[in-house]
Amino acid sequence: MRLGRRGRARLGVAGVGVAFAAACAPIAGTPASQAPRNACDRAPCEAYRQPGAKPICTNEGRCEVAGRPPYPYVLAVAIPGSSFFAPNRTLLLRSQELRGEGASCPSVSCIALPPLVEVSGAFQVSSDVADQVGYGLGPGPHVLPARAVFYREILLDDGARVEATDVGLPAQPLFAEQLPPDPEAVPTLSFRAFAPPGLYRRAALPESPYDAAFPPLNTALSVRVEGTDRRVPYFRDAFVLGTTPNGLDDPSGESRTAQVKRAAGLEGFVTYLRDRKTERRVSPVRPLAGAQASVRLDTVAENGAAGSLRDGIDIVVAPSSGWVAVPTLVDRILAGAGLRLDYPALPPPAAVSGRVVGEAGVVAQIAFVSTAITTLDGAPSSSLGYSAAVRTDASGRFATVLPPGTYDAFVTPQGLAQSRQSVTVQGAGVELTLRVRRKGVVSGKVRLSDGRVVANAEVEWAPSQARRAPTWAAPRSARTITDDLGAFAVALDEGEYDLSVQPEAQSGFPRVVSLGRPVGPDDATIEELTIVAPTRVAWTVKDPSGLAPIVRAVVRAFAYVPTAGQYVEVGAALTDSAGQFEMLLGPLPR
Amino acid sequence: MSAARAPAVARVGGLGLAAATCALAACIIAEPPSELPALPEFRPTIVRDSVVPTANAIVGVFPEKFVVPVELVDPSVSFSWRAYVDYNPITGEGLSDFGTIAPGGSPARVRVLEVPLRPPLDLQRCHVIEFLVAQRFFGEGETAGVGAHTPRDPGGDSVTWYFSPGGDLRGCPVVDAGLPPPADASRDADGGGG
Repeated sequence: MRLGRRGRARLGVAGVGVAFAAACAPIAGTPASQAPRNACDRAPCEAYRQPGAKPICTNEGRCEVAGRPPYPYVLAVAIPGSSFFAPNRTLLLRSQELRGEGASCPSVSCIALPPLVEVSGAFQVSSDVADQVGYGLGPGPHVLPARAVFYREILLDDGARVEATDVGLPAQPLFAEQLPPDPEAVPTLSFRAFAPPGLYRRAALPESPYDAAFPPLNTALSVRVEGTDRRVPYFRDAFVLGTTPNGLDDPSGESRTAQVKRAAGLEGFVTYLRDRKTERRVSPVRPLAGAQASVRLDTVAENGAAGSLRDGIDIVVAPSSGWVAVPTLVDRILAGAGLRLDYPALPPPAAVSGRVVGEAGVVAQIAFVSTAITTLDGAPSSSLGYSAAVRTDASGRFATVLPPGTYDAFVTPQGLAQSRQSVTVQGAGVELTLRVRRKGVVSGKVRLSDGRVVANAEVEWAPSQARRAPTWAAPRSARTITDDLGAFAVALDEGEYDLSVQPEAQSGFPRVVSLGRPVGPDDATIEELTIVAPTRVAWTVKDPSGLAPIVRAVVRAFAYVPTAGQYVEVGAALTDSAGQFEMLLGPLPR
Repeated sequence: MSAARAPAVARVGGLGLAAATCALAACIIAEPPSELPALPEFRPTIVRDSVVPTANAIVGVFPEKFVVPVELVDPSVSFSWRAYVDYNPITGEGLSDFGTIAPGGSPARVRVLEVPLRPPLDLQRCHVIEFLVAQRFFGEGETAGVGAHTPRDPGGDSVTWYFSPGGDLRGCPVVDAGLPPPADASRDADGGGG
């Protein structure tokens, strides 16, 4: 069909109109992320299929489960160094105790942090104890230079009092400031710390040379405000070694006298008692000399019910820290057996060299951890222990020196799977070939409980907290991001992991944690991971006066998982310029 | 106005309108074509006061994870991070973990990184943990050596923790501000002695 002149003109006008309309239409941007958003107007709250209370649309336009999270939690508030109040301190706050504080912080969502308390004390020793341990100081009491370390403790819901780090809470030990002796002050203070009120275990350790005679004091404290001095709240940590309740466990020293023998001589060795679980010293560290030594290893408050040393204490005979290829003797103390140790004669150490091999030489770290050390008469001793770490060169070759015995070699290669191999070291020289293979790939998919896939979520695999394997035996952590279809794949070492899925920041969804997930050596696909609608937690964090907000503090929420015996992180946030933060919490990790 | 003059007036009006349109178009054409100003590249910055554990004190217990808030001028950019434990500046060894953070879908300028690091094998002595961020590094991956420790333009940022179970710096490396000895130092010494 041919158009006439008028028809062509109309067509031209229409074309110009269309072009103008197209040019003036709103610009449709390309979204930066394919991650879903929690918005009631985009996805109805009824579509979330999840156990427990159903989500509803909130004032923020999000689908949330109303009310408080269905479990108690602990907030770890890390106060930034720029804060006027308590810089660089981390405060642990139980959710059951969070509430608005009177007139200064009246809102129900306001937290007025507890004030810091000046905790000061002195390591005092009675003259009787000084005489008993063989370090006469004359008439006393005397103040010794000492280090004091405060370890934060927490009460579990069942009433058990545990060290916070033992159950997965991020509490750093607080190292007290050491004060110079002040002849004007009676008694002289030897340490001072500024700590928030709460439960602590205080370890007070005499400095050298007193540490060779006087035991450390490990004491459970409840730090509180005892009074104020020039408006500074204080707590006096007063104790005297030798007076109740800090008397020596055996003042006569009979049951605390260790007899140590080594035919080749004990020069350079020390002996002490330590707690098996924490590896903290509970006695003086006595230097040894001669072929046979008899030394007192006094303790305080380490007796069991029967009056002898409690369970869980080891005696250690250790060489000087600079020595190579000399094992440490660690023996369990059995009630009534006394502290008699014979450090056996050992054959000369062996030169151990070798190569870590994948398809070619592999750069790796290797930890050799003994399972038994061979003595000179050929008998294996599991009381003797030695470990060493080496790093290969670029071709995978390594060399070290080890005492003869049997070892677990934990090989951590770059890019390949970690492995554990048993090796025997005997004779003058040993050549080893340690083979490693590729990691298994674990893949999966993340989906919302309303069926949408979750793109751009961070999937993090971390070694299982409950298992608490030593560094060399724990698998390496790994992380990846879900793709636009919510799928992920990540190469992992064999081992047990805690899996955490964290949706994109400000997407409106909570992190989901799954505990104790075993990963084998081969490729595997795990079940679909589901993220549910969150429960909102929002607080304003202020200083004790309730006036100054705590700005840019990292706040992390931890929930206690009884089956794992651990606190597990379920959320994190940063406070804003008003001290406010919002956290979206998911279900209790399983 | 007579009917005969009406087409002429319409023509003149049309010409005037066309002239005005041309003038307007000419004015627009006279302007140089403008583009949106490009935001210059800025380095990512670690919010050092807010890192967890604090970098202002000795770390006495190796933490399960390090929390590092990173501030960006332009939240739509990606950036890389590196974590080192006992970095060896000669061999480049010590890289513990690394990664790249993709642009987020939110306008938040502070991204909070949570990085679980593998503790060193020997936790009885001092260790130095370094965390670096940059838009790009000179080297990528585990085998990049010293290049992986060096940010490209526009630079990067870092934070350092000292781990020591005793709470002091015994056994920790100290900052070395020494100068290499002159090449003839030994000869001078010999000469002095002789």
